[in-house]
Amino acid sequence: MITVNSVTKTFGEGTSEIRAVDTVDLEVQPGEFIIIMGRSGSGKSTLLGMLAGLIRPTAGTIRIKGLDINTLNDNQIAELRSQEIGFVFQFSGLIPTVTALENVLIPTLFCPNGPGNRETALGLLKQVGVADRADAYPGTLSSGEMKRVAIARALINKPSLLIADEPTGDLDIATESEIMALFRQLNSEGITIIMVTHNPDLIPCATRTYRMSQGRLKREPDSPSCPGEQRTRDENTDLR
Amino acid sequence: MSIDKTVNAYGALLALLGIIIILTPWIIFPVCEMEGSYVITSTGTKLPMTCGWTARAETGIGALIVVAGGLLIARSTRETRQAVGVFTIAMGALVILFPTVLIGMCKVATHPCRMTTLPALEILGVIVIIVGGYLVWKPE
Amino acid sequence: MSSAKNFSFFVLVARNLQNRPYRNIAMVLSFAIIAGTLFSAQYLAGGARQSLETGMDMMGADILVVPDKYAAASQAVILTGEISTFFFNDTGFEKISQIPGVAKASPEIYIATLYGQACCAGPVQIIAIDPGSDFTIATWLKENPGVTMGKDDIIVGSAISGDIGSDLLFYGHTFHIVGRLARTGMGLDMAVFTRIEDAYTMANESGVKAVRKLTIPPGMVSAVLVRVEPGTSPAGISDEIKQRVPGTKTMTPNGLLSTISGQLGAITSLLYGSTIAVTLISIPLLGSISAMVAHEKKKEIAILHALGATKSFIVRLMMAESFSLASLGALTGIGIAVLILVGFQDFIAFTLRIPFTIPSPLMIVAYAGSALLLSIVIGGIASLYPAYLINHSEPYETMRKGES
Repeated sequence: MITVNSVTKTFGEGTSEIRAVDTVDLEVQPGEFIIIMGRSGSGKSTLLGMLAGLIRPTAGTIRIKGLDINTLNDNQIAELRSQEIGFVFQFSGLIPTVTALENVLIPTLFCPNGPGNRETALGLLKQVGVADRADAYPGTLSSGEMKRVAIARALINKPSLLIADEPTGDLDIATESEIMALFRQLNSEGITIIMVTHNPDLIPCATRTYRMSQGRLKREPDSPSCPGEQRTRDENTDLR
Repeated sequence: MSIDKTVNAYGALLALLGIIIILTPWIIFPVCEMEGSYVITSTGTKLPMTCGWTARAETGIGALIVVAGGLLIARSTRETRQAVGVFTIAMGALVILFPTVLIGMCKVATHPCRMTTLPALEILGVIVIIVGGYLVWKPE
Repeated sequence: MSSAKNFSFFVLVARNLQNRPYRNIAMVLSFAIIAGTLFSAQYLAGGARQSLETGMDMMGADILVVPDKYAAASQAVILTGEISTFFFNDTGFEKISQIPGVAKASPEIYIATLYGQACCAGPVQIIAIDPGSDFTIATWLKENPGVTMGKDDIIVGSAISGDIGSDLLFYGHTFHIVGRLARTGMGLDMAVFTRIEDAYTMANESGVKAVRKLTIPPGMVSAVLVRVEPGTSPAGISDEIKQRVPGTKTMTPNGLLSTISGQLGAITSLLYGSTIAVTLISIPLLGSISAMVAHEKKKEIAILHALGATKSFIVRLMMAESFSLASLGALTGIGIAVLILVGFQDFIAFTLRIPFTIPSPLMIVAYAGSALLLSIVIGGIASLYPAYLINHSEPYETMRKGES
């Protein structure tokens, strides 16, 4: 699904150069649930940005479904992103001027021949538990509700990969549990998930866990799995 | 009873339009008698010209429009809004009809009442009708 | 359940525009002023030109010959309806008719009436014609075959009130209205056409019937209308006339047009100048506002980018917002301008002392179209800088910098 080979990202030049991501290797199989942990400033979000094709690596290659991002122009990457990658921001990232339902439908503007439509959007809102708030504007939604809408939006075009940048960062414990349960459910339905988080309590249901420190990625020991929930997916199995 | 800010604004707009309609034939674009022109009868009595009577009628209608605006501000329920809207459309039509058909203005093309008062009242009448239409059909 | 309409690019544009109503209203007003000013300038210039062409066509003359001393007065009679009474010192009419190249010549007598007519609060211009040689009213009579101009019959300009069949009194003499000319927007709208012989009758009786006696010197005329032979230059004939009949001045439709253009020029220069000034001020202003909007929307742009929007989509979104405001503003400005210009056209023409008729619907659409186009071009220029910003930034990195 994703192959990352010796990827580096630097910002600035000369003495002010910062190596946000330093020679990272990573391989993600379809259906896996990857958690990346680390302190603020360790480079996690930059790595996530590169995996989503939002930031160009300074060195190294990233292949998504066999396509080398370095060989694609901005428009091609955007098209790939709209079709294959769902992105959940740290701050939910809803557009304030449109309703929850319309927010979910926004990605369909970039993928007009895709599977997303009004019925699918309503179904997704139901799946994430906020169908009754479809006509509400983001300003009237709670943090948890906004996050759920953001997840539904990320899924509208039926992507094969879901990238979430600290999706539970600003939520209370109860809501955090609910959101994580939702992610686990989506993973069980076959969606590959790469998630960045601070919270070690979320590790148990990940396929693999990594820790990012000073731009370097290090595999963490496997944790006891959630009963009946962790599994390894065959690359050839189509679970979408 | 809920106070709809938008409806209050339209009530204030109606009241303002009513005041402008009252002032138009007397001050803003005055009719002939404000410039000293009257019809003088054989006994020497000064009577208003046609435009003068129109001005008096417009004063009355303008006052009614002000009242309609005040009513809307005082009580902005859906029924009141729509009823006021219907009557506003009718009053707007009268603002236009008084100087054109019902009473008229002076016949001479170069009289100020024809050149300025008449078009001003026609434009104001159209605006009043549009406001009335909005009040009737305003989406909830 | 949800009753949301179909979501589309245009719904997104509309929602974004609803977000900051006061700022967007300010932008709409700017575009309204630009479009309204340009439209008004074109409308006034076009209406004056059309009025002159209609009036000149109606007169049917290639050359108008008037006494040199009264050239300005005769121009005023035709263009703005200022009334006058004047005559040639010499008859001159026969001499003009005999000039080679003159196809037709027709005399006219101009008489100013007194105040206090029933039809009008002000004085009226009587133009007495020779039905045998006239080609001004003749054209109109040909187009209205049921009407004849007999004894004491008059044909009135469009601004004279009085129904056809009713009577008007001038210098104590009763005339019958048999026809009304179409509106030209010129002074001819306030004119009354009668036969020369009826004018003489009126003058003869005026000593007894009228408040003041009217004297028309026998054999003298106020103006001679000349039509030249096809292929003959009116300029050449004009020179010949001035040579053979000293003390005369000749006027051509083009000459009158340039007089009007001169008068109108000052007004239209002011309006066109205002349009340019408002445009020059607006572009940087609107550009600043658009740039401000682009900066404010950095996060939103990054979100759209992350969701799969290409940079060109985002640029199109910003330009669509800009074009929407420009179009809305232009249509508002043009609408208000039309309302004022059409409603107050008599007042405007009277105050500016220009002939004026409403331009044809096609011309109005053309003027509106050019004003709309200008607004859209300005809207496009104003959104160039934000478009440049978007194309030369990395939205996700910008957003991340904003968060840290």
